[in-house]
Amino acid sequence: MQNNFIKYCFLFFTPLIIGYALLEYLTLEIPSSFKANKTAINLKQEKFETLILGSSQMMVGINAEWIDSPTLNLATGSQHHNTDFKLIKSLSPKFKNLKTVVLEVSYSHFELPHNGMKFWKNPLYLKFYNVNMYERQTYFKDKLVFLKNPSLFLNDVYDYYFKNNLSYSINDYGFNTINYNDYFKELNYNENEISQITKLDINTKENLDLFNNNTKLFFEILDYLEDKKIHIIICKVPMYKTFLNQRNENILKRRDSILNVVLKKYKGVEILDLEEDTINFKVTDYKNDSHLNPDGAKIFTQKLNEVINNINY
Amino acid sequence: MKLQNVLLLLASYFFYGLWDWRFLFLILASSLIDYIAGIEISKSKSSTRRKLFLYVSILWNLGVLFVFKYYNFFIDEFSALFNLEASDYTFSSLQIILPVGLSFYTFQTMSYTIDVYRKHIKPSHNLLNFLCFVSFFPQLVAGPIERARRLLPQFSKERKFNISESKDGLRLILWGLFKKMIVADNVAIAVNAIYMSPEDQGSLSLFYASVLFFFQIYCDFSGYSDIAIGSAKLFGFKLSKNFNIPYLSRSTAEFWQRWHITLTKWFADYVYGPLAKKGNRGYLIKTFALFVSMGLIGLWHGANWTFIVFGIYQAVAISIERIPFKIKGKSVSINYYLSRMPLAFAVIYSFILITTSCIFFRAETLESSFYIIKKIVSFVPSENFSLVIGLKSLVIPFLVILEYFSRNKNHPFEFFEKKFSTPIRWLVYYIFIFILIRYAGPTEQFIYFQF
Repeated sequence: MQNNFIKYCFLFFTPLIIGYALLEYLTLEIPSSFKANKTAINLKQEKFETLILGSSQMMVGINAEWIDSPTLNLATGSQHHNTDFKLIKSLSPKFKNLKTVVLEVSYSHFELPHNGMKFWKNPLYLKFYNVNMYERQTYFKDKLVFLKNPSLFLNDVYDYYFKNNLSYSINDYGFNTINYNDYFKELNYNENEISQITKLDINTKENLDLFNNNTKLFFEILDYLEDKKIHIIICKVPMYKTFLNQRNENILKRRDSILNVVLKKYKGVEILDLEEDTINFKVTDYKNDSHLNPDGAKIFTQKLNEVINNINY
Repeated sequence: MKLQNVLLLLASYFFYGLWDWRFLFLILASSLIDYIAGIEISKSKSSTRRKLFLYVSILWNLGVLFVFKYYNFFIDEFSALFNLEASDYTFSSLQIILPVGLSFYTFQTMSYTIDVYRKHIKPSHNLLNFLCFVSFFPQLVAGPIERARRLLPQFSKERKFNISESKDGLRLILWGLFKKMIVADNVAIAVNAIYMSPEDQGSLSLFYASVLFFFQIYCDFSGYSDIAIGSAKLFGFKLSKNFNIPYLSRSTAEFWQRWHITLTKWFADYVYGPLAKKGNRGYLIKTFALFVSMGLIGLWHGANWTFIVFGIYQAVAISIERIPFKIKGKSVSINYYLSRMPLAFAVIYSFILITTSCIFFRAETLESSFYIIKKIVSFVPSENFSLVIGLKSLVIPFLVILEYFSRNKNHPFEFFEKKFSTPIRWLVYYIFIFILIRYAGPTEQFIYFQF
């Protein structure tokens, strides 16, 4: 009876385990920024002079291909300063030639919670960059990528392996060169129609506890980089006017007051402030209210490149 | 059998130690005190000595609960009542964490010594069995709260492998995971979003969130109970049923016979029963016993006024349903009519009452609870209701249909067992596992772990 049960359990669970292993494998084989960055790190880690960090705004807004010095862009969606800091501490010792680190300070960066231990991208950092974000010893399960966000990865697997019209094309620098699809394109970049859209993904909730906590860590990052004699560039990424209009004034003032303190306290810090630049960035440079498309990314990257060149040389 | 129990004890202590190994000493101390108290109560001839050991056991268990769970609450309330500053009094708040499952295992061990004292059971003379009884890992952190007379003897017998029980255990675990990961965790998204800023919500949204919250805690807690009962079955143990489709209750009193059944029975046996039996057992005495019991049930859930009001609210509802009155010379109560009216009407009545009480359960403070209730009855338009619905919450009707049609079974998969062949059943299980992986909500801790 016992043997029968074990036999049936084996028969029942084996397809599940094989199915899961297959999905994990297929997920890891899909082209991604993480995968491209891993290859780049393996090939030229000693050459990188500039390291870019931040959230999705920096990921889609900067194509490292257009930066003159060897650059690695490790920005990714929802990545906060605490994750940036761990990446800096873990990877910068390997980047012997590192001269500049580019950080992002968006309008509400200081009043949004840091990435937690349960952040679904933690397995990706471990798997691809070998950086432990768990703040504890890691186990086999911590490297399982698919399990952390099955709904997203199932869609990715379906899109990549079964659908032909892919909406992304990742270059060697981890940048999606055809990243145009979103509601700005759907609305034909019609500014009147865009202005009617009310559903914006913007944080307007003030949180002084988070502000105190986040600014403290931000200064720790700056101190760390200053100690290592690494130049710092802080980016305020361009936002479309519908987003700019919805910002909470208090959050904005607090953010800017901190950046003023940074400028006074740290001599080698540059701020690239293009957040409200409506002259260089047109509606056709955005994919949505808070993210540039590759056309906008080209302009933004060129501006960043000028700043980097001024610092380095 | 001894080896089986050694393995179980090690597994249970390992399981609990994974959370925080330091609190293993607390479980061990509780187990030893109650073990010795049980033997001494049984051995003693003098009633004073028997009482002494009973009080030692009760004082220890309630003392541990008080220190870890209620001390800060009482200190804060005391200082607020007399407008005291921290420097005005000797006692100050403690910086301690609440051990997981404390309320569950202290109640379980307390019932043991009380039952030994009442001579309902004989004390355990086997320390290993007793340690296993207190720390049995499937139900250690969130119940069901077992009685010694039911669970303890199961450790004294050698467990033999039973294929049908093991299969049923696995099915129950799958059903519990479905309730927790698909229903509770997905529903939590909409509930959290609405309750995060009640001031921005209209009446419909708040009422909707309160209904969803009922299903969230039901699926969260009963899901855990199913997993616990299913896991125990794999080891050859039978645990008590803790839920019986509570949303099909006809009255508030019936709700408590279907919701967290083992806790309700605990309070019925050790609080309500002894209080109500005193005096002439008239309506007033019973109502007094009811208020004390329900108030304590509320307090059991947490050191917050919201939980106490939650309990008192239930007591008010039950006592009103029980008010005796005469019609045509016949003594009746609202319960009498509720039990005779069409099921749908009675269910809607009790569901509205229970859902309202859930507002106290979910809100952070009493002020916030009353604010939400006031806003719901003010009929403030919900302008963005369509945005907060949360499509995944539509899994609730699916759950209700499945549970309704399998209401005479222990769980819906038992229904499949009789109707379908193995390949079809396996296909159903694979579909459910796929749903678990694909549609699981964001990981939320089991709500009842905090109690």
